[in-house]
Amino acid sequence: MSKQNKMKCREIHQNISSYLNGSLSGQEFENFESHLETCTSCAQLLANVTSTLSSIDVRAQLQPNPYLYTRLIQEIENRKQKGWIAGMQRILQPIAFVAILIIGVYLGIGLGNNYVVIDEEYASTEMQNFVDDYLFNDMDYEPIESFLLDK
Amino acid sequence: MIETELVEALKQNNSSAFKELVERYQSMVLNTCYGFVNDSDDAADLTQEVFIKIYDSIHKFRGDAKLSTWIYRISVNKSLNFIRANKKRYMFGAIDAENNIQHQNLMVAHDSDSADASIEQTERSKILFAAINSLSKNQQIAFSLNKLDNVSYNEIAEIMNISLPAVESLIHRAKLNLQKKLINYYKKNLP
Repeated sequence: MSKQNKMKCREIHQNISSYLNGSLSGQEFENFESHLETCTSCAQLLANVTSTLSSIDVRAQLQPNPYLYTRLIQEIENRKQKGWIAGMQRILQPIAFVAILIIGVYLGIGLGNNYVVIDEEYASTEMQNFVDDYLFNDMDYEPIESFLLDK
Repeated sequence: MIETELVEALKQNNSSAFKELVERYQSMVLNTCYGFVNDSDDAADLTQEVFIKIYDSIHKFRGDAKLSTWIYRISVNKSLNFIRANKKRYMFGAIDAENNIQHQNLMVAHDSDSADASIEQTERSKILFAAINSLSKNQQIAFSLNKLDNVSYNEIAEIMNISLPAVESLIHRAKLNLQKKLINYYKKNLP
């Protein structure tokens, strides 16, 4: 394709929209159409654009499904059932959570109390021994008194 | 049943009123959705969703617009949300003129209604819809409602809550933008 033709094609491409909308002046319109007579690629481009745009006009209307109402009613019923279950879950779940928490706390307290009793017994014996051995037995630290005891 | 009676009965959960609503508007809803998604199965699913939404929200309908206007709004919103959620299927940029496989990626499996159309017509339709979906949202709505659903400019103005001149401007700009997009698209295909 010659440079002059290429430039003309570029102008044609820019003017396709104006051509389709009928806004080219008389001379521009004639130049446009005479170019199309000699340039197959521009003619093809215009044909593609107009065919694609006109595919809107041959578009068929869809026919609705005769069972749509039945399907809708079924769908609404299904959602109502799911809604009931979801509603019950919303009430029961927090109750179950609180109940588990309370049971857990009571168990914890109960178990804790048992260990404290055992520990306390152990601790008191241990403490007594510690007291006896270290705190109030001064004999190792005051050996001078031992002679009094030996007598 | 006249419209006000129908709306009152629907608000009372009257099942025969709901049946009448479905029968009256199912074709309009189906073809409005089809005008956006260009796929009969998706349009059928969206139609069901639209009527469920109407059933759930009828108590919110104040009656300051026509019932059909309100139903159009729901249909348009559902369709646009669907397109947004399935963006990849609707991208105009995904069309590669040099690679025919990309053409086939556009809604091939679901396009059950194009059995009678020639393959070329089918492809053109897909290219056109991809171009329409690449328009700005308002241009897409106005253009689709007018050109595909034959909705009047006045009704579009009510549906979109804009003025009549604004509708005319949107449709005019949509047409110009579509032409530009298609010109650029087919230029890439020039021998």
